[in-house]
Amino acid sequence: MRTRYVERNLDGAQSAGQSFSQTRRWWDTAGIAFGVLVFFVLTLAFTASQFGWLPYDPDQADLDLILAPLGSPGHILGTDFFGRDLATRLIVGVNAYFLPALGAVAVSLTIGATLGLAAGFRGGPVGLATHYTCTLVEAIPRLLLVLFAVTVYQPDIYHIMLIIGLTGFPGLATRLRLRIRHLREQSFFESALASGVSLQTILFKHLLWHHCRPLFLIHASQAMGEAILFETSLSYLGFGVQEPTPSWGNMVQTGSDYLLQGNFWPSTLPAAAIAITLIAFYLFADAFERRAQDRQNP
Amino acid sequence: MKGSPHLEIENLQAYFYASADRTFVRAVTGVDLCVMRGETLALIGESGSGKSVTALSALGLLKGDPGIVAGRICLHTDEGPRELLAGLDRCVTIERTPERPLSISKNGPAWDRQQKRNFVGVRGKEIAAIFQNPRTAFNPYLMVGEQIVENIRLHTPTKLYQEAYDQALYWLERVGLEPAAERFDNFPYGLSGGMCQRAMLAMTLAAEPALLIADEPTTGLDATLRTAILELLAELQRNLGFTLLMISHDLHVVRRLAQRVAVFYNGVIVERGPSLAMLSANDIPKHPYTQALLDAQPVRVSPKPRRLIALQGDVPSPIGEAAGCRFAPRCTHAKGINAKRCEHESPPFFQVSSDHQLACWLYTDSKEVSVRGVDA
Amino acid sequence: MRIKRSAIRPIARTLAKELAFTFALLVGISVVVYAMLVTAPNSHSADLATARPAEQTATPAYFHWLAGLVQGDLGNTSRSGGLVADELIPAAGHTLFLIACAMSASLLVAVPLAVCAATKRFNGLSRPLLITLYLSSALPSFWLAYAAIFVSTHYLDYFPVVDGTNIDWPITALATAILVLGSGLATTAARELSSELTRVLSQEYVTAAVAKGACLWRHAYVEGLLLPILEIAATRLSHVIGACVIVEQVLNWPGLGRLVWQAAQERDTHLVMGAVLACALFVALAHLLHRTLHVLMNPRASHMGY
Repeated sequence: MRTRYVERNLDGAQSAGQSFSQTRRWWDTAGIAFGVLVFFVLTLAFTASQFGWLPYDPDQADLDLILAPLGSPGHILGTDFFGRDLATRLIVGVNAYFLPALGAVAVSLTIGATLGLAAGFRGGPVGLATHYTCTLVEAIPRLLLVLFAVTVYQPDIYHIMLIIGLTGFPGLATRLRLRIRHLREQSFFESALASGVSLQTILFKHLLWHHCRPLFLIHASQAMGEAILFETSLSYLGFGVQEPTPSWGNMVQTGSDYLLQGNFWPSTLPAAAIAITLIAFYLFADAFERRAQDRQNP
Repeated sequence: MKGSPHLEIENLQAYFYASADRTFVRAVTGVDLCVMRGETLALIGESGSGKSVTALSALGLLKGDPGIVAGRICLHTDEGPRELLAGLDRCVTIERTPERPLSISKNGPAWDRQQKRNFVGVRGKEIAAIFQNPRTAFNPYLMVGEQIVENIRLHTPTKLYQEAYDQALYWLERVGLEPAAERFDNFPYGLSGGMCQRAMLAMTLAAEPALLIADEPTTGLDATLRTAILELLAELQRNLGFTLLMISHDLHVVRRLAQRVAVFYNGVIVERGPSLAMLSANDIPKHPYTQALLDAQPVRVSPKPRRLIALQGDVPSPIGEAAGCRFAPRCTHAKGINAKRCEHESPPFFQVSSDHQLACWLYTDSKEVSVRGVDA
Repeated sequence: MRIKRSAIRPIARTLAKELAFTFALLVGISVVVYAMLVTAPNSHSADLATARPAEQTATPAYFHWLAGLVQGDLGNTSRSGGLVADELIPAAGHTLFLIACAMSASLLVAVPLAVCAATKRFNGLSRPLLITLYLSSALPSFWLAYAAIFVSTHYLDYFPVVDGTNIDWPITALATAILVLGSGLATTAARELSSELTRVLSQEYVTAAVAKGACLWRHAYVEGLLLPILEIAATRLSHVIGACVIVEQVLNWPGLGRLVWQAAQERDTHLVMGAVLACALFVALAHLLHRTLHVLMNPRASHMGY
């Protein structure tokens, strides 16, 4: 397996063939583009379902057209076992998690950023307290905690997502703490302080914005994916959005009986939608992480 | 056998590919070197001049893509000569102009496999190496003594643990680490830099190698420790008789230990010869770079104060064209009528004496000399 | 693995610190759970195992509850009136078995993949496998399990769902569960292991080991494989337990996950609380075990060696 290195910087005839890092850079750009595209599509779906710009009514049952396959006239993605159009239900299903997931991401970002910054900057007892809190939150399995909260509080989806947000900060907090501790030991920090730059400016502008911005984006992307997974899992288990309101999770659940009989589209389409969304967010996070790493060590 | 060639390097070329700039970085472009058995040869030059690359390629430790692309390294062992870069031309294809390579195609996995075959029995036994930063050269998860024992059991007939343990203690005492039994149990981070360097010497020499490569052995140490380590190295070489290939950028170190010296600049050797003659202030012809190195050294005892003459300019970029003498941009002699020739034509080697050559247009007669003009 | 006699005291000191930390962790978990119980809006959850009279303030009731916990009294389930502990323990055993199998299987797959990725060999085999694992980990486990059942029943003639509550070694159910549970873990493990391995393989001590002719893996395996595997196993354990809930529900595996799902549907507070506490305890103990092994294997972790 030969690797080809081609001199490109000086003028002259460039032979065909990409270098190794060029392929990787293309891959990263594709990942980021895909993530942005999917997020855009989700926003579109959310707006569409809010304003009612839908091809069909999601609850309208057409009993003549039960379990129509893909590509049926009028129903591109087919219908489910009540004759409801699957495409519409998929679009409305975005509604179930879009705002709550964004809320969860916002909550975990805020908490994680505060804790990470405080712990990384101060060190000592604050660091120990943050480490303790993060380990505590990570020790309880999140789904079990949510189920416990469901049993005790019977919350709606927004409160469930609040809990998801409250338990999602440890990753960001730990990574941010390590990074800030590392940055604090760099000499540029001391020289900035010595030349009179205010501490607040250093913290927020220099450290957080310039150096840690990729961390926040990566965490936001991963947290969004996790939140979506949680909402769909809970809806599947019956604790989130209830029928007939569509959520991708409960669509999979109700379609699951029919999957075993052989009609697998009512169940597979929402699962594919979940998969594509998750892949998009994780690819985005990965690509961003690699880009950030490349920038650090060229 | 003392005085016969031990390691011969011919026309070594190594390039690295900078993916950010998408261009080749010249590490070594055509180096010829011959180390005699039992002698100490020092490679001196600035950082990035290619001395580490040359020495490490003798062990096949070069990392980076594509790495070594051409050349021949011949190690003369007791069983006969061994080609350490055999099979390289099958793995590499180069398209080039005379000044720079245009594209290099290298079969990485095949070359790794080939290297494994080439270096069987060489690493550690025929050629060993000590490194610049001794504390990171030891495995932090194992005791220092255990690592010495591992080397002993790998390369000497001693296979029983207890015998190897006793030998390790002997070597620890030999390099001056006492009490040996306690030092055996230490982990690398528990030893100071100087102690670690001694331990590394103990570890490498316990396998009784024929050639030792010392990659800047004293650069990471305090000045007070440097002399001690150097004396230790000199004494061990006297007693054990191995060949020493030393890399340094400190001229005092080189003068103390080395009989012969090769001066590197920007990936080529510009001068090679006996160290005493080359590195002292005298009338023997020197390459302008060597002269500049000498001029920049603070003289300890001088009859009258002398200004330190600093070398102007920067090391030329290792990217891109490499026509002409590499030192020309900084050379005080490459001015006026000489400028054209120095900048566009690479000077051939000029033989100053039987084993002293340098490459500079200042001294070249009409006599062309062969590049490997060292008498066996 | 030899340990110096002089290193025993620093190791013991570090381990004592870790033990104290774990203890504090468990106390914290109990406080969180109790706080959730106490702030419950309905009295149904408020009549805890404590059966406290209404005049008592919250704090002594907490210790009363904690004392009951420590003795193993988790209260009674609302379904059958029996002890929570009696239902939890056998279910926990089944889940533990499932988790152990899934984690070992995924690590067995992840380690060779990581080695391939780090040494850049056999890329033709390992890359497609990695991509397949990545895709299957993105597919939601509740669908993947059904798809596996579908494929299994229609093409392989096995019905992998557990029948009833007695397990007579349903290999196919186990295989399906391992597939679903393990793919996510295998992907993350492979990725993290390969990045750790590439980092370790470029360390100077590995180059020095190669320079002296030693086997590369004999030196790189501790920092490159052992320690990262321990860390991955310890940190992903709570994720795997969470994923178990869904997988057990689909496959009808009589484990803790399915129990919690049923209990949550029936609003059986005591059972869910008991399950949460049990799982948190398990994860905290696993964390302690990981720290202990790390301290024993890494001499710098406890500053032994001086």
